[in-house]
Amino acid sequence: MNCKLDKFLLQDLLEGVIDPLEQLFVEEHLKSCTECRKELTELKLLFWDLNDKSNYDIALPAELDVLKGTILEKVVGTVSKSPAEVVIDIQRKNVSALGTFLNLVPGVKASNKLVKDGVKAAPSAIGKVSKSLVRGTKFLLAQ
Amino acid sequence: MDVSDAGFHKIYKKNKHQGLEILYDRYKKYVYTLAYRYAGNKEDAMDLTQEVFVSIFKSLDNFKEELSILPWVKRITVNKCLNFLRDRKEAISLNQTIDGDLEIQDLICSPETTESKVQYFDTKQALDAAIHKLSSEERMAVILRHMKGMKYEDIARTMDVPLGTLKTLLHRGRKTIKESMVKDGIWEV
Repeated sequence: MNCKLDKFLLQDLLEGVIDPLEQLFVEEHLKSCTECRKELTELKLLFWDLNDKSNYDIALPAELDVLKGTILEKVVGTVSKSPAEVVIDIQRKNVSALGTFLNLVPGVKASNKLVKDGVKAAPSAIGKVSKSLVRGTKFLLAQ
Repeated sequence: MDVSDAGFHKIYKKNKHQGLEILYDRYKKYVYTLAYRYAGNKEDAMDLTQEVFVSIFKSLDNFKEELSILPWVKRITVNKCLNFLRDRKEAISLNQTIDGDLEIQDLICSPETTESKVQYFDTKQALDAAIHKLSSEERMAVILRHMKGMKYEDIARTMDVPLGTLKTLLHRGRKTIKESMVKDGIWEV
């Protein structure tokens, strides 16, 4: 493994998606490099097998036709309700789902409690502030 | 029965059930073979096929008639397949290795003898096994390119990846497959 050529170029060469300049370079390189020629042979075999459709042949199972009935029942069955009913159902679900995300948001309950406590404590806080304001103005007047 | 896309929409508007049936019959082979090749077994392929068609049928009413149906079906199939394995990563795979090299499935008794296994390990099986070793994106790229014969641009659009990324996926995927085929001695070179 001494050759430094990007082996992916060989794949592109076989796929025909190589840049024309690179193609010239690779073709020239192949003339002198046995390692790359071996790699190219292997790649050709790989492409042959990969593109051989018979390698992918599978029998379609009989269940596939049973499945058709199941799916159709499932899909056509759900739309057999009148459109108005469907709309109402969706609305009902929407309304009930509207608030559920709050249960999952971290800290919602805790912050609610904090706000409540805060509101309760507010009067005393306002009192303290106004008292210190009065004290402040007295001090200023004295000056 | 084969009708053009426009013909299909006409039938679908008249008779929903019949329209869906036509759609199912027309694309079941495409969807199932892709799902099978991707998931690697019949059960998952059936599950996937069901998921794909339920999704197709449900969104058909919003489908714009002037667009063609096949690329849309391809896109849904590919997305469902890729999501399928993503959702399943948690599950234990029989191919999962423990203690270095040993796969879980090797620990399960098999009715086949080693001899018969070796004898019948042909190209098709080797290719199957090799494709299954790829990452899900690489596998999807290889399947769409070589099994379905799609063009690079179409694959990139369907898988929603840039063209450069697709090329890398194909390069790496083919390299892995080739190494595995060489290791299995499929080609005598």
